[in-house]
Amino acid sequence: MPESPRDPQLLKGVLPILVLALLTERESYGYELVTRLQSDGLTDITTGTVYPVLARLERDDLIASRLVASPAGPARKYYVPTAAGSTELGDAVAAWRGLVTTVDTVLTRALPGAPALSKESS
Amino acid sequence: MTTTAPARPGLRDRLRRDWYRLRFELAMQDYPPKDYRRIARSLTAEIDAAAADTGMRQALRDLGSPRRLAAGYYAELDRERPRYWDGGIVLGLVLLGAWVCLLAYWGGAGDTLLAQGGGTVTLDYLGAPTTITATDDELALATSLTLRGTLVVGGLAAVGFALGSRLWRLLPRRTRQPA
Repeated sequence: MPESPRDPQLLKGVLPILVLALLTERESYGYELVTRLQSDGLTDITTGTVYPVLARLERDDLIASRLVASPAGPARKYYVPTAAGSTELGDAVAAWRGLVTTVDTVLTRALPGAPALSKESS
Repeated sequence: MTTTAPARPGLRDRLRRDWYRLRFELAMQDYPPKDYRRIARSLTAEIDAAAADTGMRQALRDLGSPRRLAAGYYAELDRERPRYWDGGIVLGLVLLGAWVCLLAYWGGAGDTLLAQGGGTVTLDYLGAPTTITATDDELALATSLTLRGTLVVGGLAAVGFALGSRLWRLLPRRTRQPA
């Protein structure tokens, strides 16, 4: 079944969570973060989408940054979650999982023929 | 494609980057100034870092248009900002309108005086006494700066600016408390 185009509004809601989660896994600079998101399946995401999210997370003290000199190229600004960012991520993940379960329950009831969310991914 | 880039981009790349930044700055004019400066510094560092991996052209292409990038930053604000340039335009239109109305007032009064054989009349235009003279030899307009006139014109301009710029967006927002 061909994948339908992704609604950008769906991405807008989860992108901060994804950014925090990836930075928890490993600190990254902006462009590297974008390539990681693309590798994980968000193939149409661009730096223009991610940079404003990074700016807001930094403004809200959910991530911190440091400049790292590079031996071959300009210095890079690496981001990492703060303690507040880690707490926020935990809360956001719990909320997301609750939402996914609710949405899947409604959709399964309303559209019996549609494929349900697998237990592993909920 | 990974390219090995010098610590500082070449002149052509810097010009491309700075042209992009100028257009971005224009689009961000209504952004809180302190936050904008931080974003501008960060964006320059990010562009240079991305350019080291993909080249400056691709790095700027990936950002999208400056206006669209600015819209992304505005969308991350907690609230909408006043639009001071729009307010300035409305203020200018209000003042231009007042000036055009004055000329029309002058023209109309002058026509009436000439139809009656010429003369002088003193009228009140937006709180300022305005003397209009129209004869076969002379067509003149004299107005004086008064406190009342200044307040009326200034008030109209201020209201126009406030409405055009949506100045009420600066007011603290009342948040609804849960019951």
